[in-house]
Amino acid sequence: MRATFLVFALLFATAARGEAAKLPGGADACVDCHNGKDAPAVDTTAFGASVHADKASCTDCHSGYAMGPHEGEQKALAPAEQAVVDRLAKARWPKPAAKPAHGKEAPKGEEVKVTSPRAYLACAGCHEMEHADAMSAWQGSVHSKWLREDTKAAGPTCASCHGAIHSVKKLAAYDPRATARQKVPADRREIAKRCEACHGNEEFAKAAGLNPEAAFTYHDSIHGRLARVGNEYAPVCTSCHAAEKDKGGTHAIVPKTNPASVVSAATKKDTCGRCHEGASDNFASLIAHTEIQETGGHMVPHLVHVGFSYLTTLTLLFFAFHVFVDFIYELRQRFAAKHHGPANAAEQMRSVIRFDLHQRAQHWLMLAGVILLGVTGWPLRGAGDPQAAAYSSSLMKVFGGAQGAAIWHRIGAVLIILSAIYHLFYLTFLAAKKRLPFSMLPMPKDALDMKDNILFMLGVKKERPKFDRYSYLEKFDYMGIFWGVILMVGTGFIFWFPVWFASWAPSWLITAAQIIHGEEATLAILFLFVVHFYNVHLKPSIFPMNWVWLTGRITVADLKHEHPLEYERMKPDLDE
Amino acid sequence: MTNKKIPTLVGSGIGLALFLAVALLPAMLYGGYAGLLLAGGIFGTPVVPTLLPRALIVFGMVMGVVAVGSLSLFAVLGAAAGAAVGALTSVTIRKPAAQESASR
Repeated sequence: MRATFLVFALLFATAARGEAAKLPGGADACVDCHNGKDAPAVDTTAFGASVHADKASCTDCHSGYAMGPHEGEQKALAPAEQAVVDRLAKARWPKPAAKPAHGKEAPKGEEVKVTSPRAYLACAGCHEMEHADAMSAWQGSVHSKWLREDTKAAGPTCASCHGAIHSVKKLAAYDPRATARQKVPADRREIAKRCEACHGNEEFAKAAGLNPEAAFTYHDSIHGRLARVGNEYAPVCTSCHAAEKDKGGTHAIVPKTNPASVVSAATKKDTCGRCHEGASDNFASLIAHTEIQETGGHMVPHLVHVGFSYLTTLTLLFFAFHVFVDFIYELRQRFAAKHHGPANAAEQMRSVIRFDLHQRAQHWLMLAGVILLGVTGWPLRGAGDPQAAAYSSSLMKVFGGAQGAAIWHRIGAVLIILSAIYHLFYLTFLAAKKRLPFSMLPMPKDALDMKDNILFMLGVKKERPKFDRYSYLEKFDYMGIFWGVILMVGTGFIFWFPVWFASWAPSWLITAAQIIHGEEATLAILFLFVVHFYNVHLKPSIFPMNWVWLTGRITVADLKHEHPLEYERMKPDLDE
Repeated sequence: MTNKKIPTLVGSGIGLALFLAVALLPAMLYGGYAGLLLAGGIFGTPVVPTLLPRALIVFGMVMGVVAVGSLSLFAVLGAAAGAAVGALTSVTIRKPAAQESASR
């Protein structure tokens, strides 16, 4: 027993010592001074866990130093190397939002600079041998141009993308294929934040001649929103901009005007094809780091965007006003009722059928689908706002995360499609029996009723207009559902099968569909959850709800009050 | 107020309290963002923070709060839950018919 214990103790002791012994030979002497007091500190723990721990000693990178304070120790470099070091020494970058990548952490609001420019010569020294493809690609890339010639602004160093050299970790394998979609590793998401430190900094991007909107438009795109709400497959910068691994990967990024770029006009569809099998040029043109309504430069998406913005705003403003006026009227009525006593008790007890089982079932399917679509879809739309995105991510966890919410969203879509099909069959059946009602069709009287009702609620008119089986509000709800289902289902299918649609439909149509899906959702959700829910739930006279959606019945008192023309038609039957 | 209404009102009160605790801020954020998107469509992007865009964003916030809070997912669901609880308890605590008639 004791022997076994000793064997285990020795085994663990060796392992523990192995972890601690990852610092390279001779590092102890360096760390004696580089402790943060006598000289800049080195995070030995991070270095011990880094990819360089057992591969490089301090002087492999910080070469030319002897023991001592180092002044005047270093030998002169070859002119080409000295030019690179000079560019590195002069370079300044905006401080990244996350942990700084270029070495020493700068105080907030200041720029970041390279602390040991000569050490970067060592990166090429080793990696030229180990990763010849990557180094060769890097030397020809747009990101190394600034080290070869004068440019408007400094480009990145190794540390800009890989993080502080003393704590560099080995990157996870990432090679997405349409046939085998791959989750984006956490380190690529970290790298994306580092890309954003420059490409997302408006001031720096303008100075460097970059697109200052690149990061904003990514986060506003469907890819960026999915990434924000935690979809593990949502692409990041390197997913689209990195070349194939055997062609240099992220090191091989060149301007998109270069035919060798993976986002050039000729090759972009192949890059999209990494995730979207069968992607066409038309499909590839849908994502372009521009605002969605400006993508492709066609006027239709722009007009759709502006038109929907006006439609949504004016519709909601009008109905918010209607709800407000109605609420005030209801309060006045309640106050008056207390003085005039309750309505006819018999009429309140007696009820008639308003909706049959088929109509109620159609409504149940529709409301389940719409609520499901709303709670799984709006968090994604709202994720365009970075603060709201955190709530979106939390809400989506209820549905099993972003991918789970996407499945539930499709289930919601199927429910409203079923409801719509059910309703069409129902109407066809009624038509065949010559019982098709036209009471839901909007008529000129509805416009007059609306005007008169508002004036009545405001106290301008003395008499309330007499509604028939359906008031103008109910007709608006009903016709709005027709309009909404056609638009949302139609555009939703384009989202569901984008590659197929892009294979034959013009890009402006698909872009317009994307805009409509988001903006009609805003209109529908706010209208339903504010206006419709007020009319059928929160109105003081019917709170907590109008039970007709469950029971199918309406009291005679309500029928008389809400639908007097229908009541008068039914009165002979009711009196029997 | 009838006894039937009490559980409903209690349910909606709980729903509203829950809304204030967990959903007020996201409702304002989502609504404000919707207002910002509408302002972008009407006044152009980037949205300049003048009176009308600000008013539209505030309107969006109000709509967001009303939609999420008072009407839909909290107050109404709370009221519905309260009504359901009220209906269930009224069934379970109803006196047997004989006992009911004897007590008259």
